[in-house]
Amino acid sequence: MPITSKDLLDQLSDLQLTLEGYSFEQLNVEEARALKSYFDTFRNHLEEKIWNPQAGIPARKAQGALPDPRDNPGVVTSVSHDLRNPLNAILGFADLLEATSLDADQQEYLHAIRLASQNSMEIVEELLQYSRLKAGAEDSISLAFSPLGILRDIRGYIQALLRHTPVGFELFVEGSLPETLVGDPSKMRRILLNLLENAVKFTEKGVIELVVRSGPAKKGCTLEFEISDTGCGIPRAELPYIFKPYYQAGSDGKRSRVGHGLGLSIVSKLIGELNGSIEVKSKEGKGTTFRLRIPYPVKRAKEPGLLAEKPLSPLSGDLTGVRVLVFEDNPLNKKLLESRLAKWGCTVFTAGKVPEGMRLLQREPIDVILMDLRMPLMDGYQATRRIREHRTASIRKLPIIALTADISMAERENYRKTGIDDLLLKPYDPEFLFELLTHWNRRSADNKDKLEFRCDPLPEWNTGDGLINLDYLEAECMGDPRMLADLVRLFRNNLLEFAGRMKFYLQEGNLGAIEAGTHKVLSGINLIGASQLLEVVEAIHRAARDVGDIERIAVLYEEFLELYPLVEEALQREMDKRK
Amino acid sequence: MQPKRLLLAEDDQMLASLLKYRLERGGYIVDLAFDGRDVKSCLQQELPDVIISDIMMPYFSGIELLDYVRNELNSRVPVIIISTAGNETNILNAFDLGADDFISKPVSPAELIIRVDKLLRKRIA
Repeated sequence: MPITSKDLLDQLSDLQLTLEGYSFEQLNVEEARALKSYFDTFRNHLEEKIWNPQAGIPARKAQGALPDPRDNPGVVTSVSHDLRNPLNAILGFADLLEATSLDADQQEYLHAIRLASQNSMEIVEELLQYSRLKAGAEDSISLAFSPLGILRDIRGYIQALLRHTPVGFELFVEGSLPETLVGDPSKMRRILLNLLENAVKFTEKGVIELVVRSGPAKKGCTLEFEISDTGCGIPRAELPYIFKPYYQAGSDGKRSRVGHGLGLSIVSKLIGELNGSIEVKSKEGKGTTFRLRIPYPVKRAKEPGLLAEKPLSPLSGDLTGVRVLVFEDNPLNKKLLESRLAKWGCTVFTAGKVPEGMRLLQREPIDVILMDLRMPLMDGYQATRRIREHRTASIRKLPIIALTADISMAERENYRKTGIDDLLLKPYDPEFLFELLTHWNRRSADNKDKLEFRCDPLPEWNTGDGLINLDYLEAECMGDPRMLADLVRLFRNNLLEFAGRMKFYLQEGNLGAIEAGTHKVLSGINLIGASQLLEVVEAIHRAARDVGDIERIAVLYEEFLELYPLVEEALQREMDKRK
Repeated sequence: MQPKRLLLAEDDQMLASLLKYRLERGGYIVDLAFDGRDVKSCLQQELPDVIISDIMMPYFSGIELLDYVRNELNSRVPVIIISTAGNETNILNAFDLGADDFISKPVSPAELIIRVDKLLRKRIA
């Protein structure tokens, strides 16, 4: 009798329960390997059935036009989101690994892991982008931006991609380009990047060129771009299909499959949205040229108040001694900002992770915060929220300027609600940054004057006082030091396990497990008198049980991760004292 | 008189160890179970004189445990439920299913000993 999907789900969840109880520590290498290969096979079978339920029908019918179950944007979105989490974890752990002492070989392997996972991450991002476009979720926006700024940025990026290859990159600007255009800068950027990245993938030697000129236009201006490479080219028969989703040069398996088949379909969609046009010429073995035109009919931005329109006086003001905290996890951007800010006389602090930034805020008096919104390893919105919810008023009120390359309508309307004070669109003119910093530093100084009389009476975490109180537990142990040491050891194990598991439960959005997990540690936290930690964990417990607010839990969990090491240190000190 | 045997079902090993330590000093023999399956296998071997169970446990909640003891093992062994503040409905459920007493977290070991003493005295009397 065929089993129903419900039976299958029941059996799977039984299996999951069994697995949770199974102690994997005792596995030897062979066993682990056998298990893994078994699970892999199982997963593949399952995937095959889910993607291709009617057995016997090949997943891909014909070359060229490729109907694909992945075309369902809902599925794509959810699968991509699911993939993003483990990838984030891989990147995060690679980070941790990097901080340990590694020999040259290991460094190299680690580098390879990073590259591979970053590459996968890009694929996932691309899928997400594509499915959003398909679902029409992306709105066009209209901003004043500098085309030269975008081109400069792109040139830097492509040159970096080509650094270790014999392929060259040239950017030619014919004639003069308008200083500012009005439109959606992120779309122009994505179109060019997609095409250029494609060129990079398929070109092994020679040169990639980007030629830009201002073309004839009835109204405003039209930009013409020409992107040509000396790569492998596209066979004539395949040319009609290249803008179709999931098309890949070399679907026949002859060529290396580096692309993921969505880049060009994204490009054509984006160009359509901008009312532009694109054409392609290609000769197999010789190279490919894309020619595109994008009209920018409007000369001036309509909406007032956008940053790009703020009247700019030449660098007026003084940033000497201003203390800036930068949330940025990309080392390159970090360096760039650091040197730029240092040149203006600012004192710069940088944080690559949210807890690191929060600790800096506790320790250092900061005037202004710069926050990158889209970071692979850190969520700028989440960091912002944590700052806005901070227990110390002076930290809560700090001005936050966000940096972002990709700003959709929704983001623009929402950013103030999320607690961001101002927004700087990348690529940005350093003068904008200077202006913004001057402006918000002044505001910050005003705020501080007002705040002086109502400083927060709450104790700061890093003083070490009030973190724990062992009096109660000691009394309950009736003065037996061994019992106390045993209990403290158990407490540590519980909390470490808790910290690890919570991370996964959060990713799964498993509220039930979060509730049970917090329940399990609350008593222990209470017993060692860690009242601040108790507050946080109780809040997680309530949020899981009563509200079901995963985002809130994620914020609280970050807080937990920050506080727990301090509790642990205090515990160590107390136990050392008793030895 | 032979010392009484208690089964303490609590998934927080730290709390469980502390309670065991104190209950043993109070003259009891204490078996620990950390999850529902431990509880079942303990109960299948030997029925204790009192069961103390956290209401929330992996695989097997305190409520399910009560149901199992009362309706499958058909036993009247006294059961004390450890509950969390804010879980009043669960306590009522527990009493419906035949719980004898409850104690709220944070659990005071001294209070627990008194409650166990009282339950056993009542039973002997």
